[in-house]
Amino acid sequence: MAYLQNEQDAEEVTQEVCLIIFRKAATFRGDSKASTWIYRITVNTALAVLKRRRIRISRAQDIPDLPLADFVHPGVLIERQEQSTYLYRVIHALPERQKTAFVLGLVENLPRQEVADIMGLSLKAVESLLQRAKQNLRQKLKEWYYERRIP
Amino acid sequence: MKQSANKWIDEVMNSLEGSRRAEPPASLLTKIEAELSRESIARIPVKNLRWLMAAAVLLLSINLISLRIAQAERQHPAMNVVLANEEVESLLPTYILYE
Repeated sequence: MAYLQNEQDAEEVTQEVCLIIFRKAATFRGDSKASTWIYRITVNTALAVLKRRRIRISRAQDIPDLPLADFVHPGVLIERQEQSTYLYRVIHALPERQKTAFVLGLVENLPRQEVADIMGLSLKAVESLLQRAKQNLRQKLKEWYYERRIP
Repeated sequence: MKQSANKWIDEVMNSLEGSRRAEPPASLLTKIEAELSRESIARIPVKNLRWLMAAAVLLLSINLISLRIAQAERQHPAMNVVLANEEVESLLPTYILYE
């Protein structure tokens, strides 16, 4: 949900992931944790859905990618919902790998090593992606603050 | 100004603290179960399909052979009897040996 920022897409991905697990369960070799394997499938499926959505939007409106409407994650505390919509907007604009690392590591709060396993990267590479993601988010929020004179 | 900007940025960056995971609606599970049962009916593994084909071919061959034998018996009913008699006669001397 945090990755796709759209309830319908999240449902579509959940359904697709369950079907993939059902079809491919026999091919799971147990090299990694089952949860890592499932997360990897989920991230890949979510990326495919995002790609499809981008193609759909660009075909329909001839615009490369549109920012999403304000997304309110249903699990966010009510008093923090307004701020979280700003955060989700900037998360959406992050480069793909930084976005994946940030959502898995800092939104889903997975251990860094598991994020590394899911993304097929080293722990160091994940730490670096998270660092850059945070810098980018802060920079974008800063620009936004001065452009729009928020609060 | 800079201080208030930083304060706001920190607030936004920490806005997901204490949030819960999103839960799917109950109807999604029903949808997935329906999809999975459709999937398990539609999908026959290729390995099983091969055995199925082999069994079908074998069954068909046995049926064809039986049919041809039945046809041959209907066309030449006496032949089998004659053959049987010849066989019995050829065996008779053997039996005599042990009398």
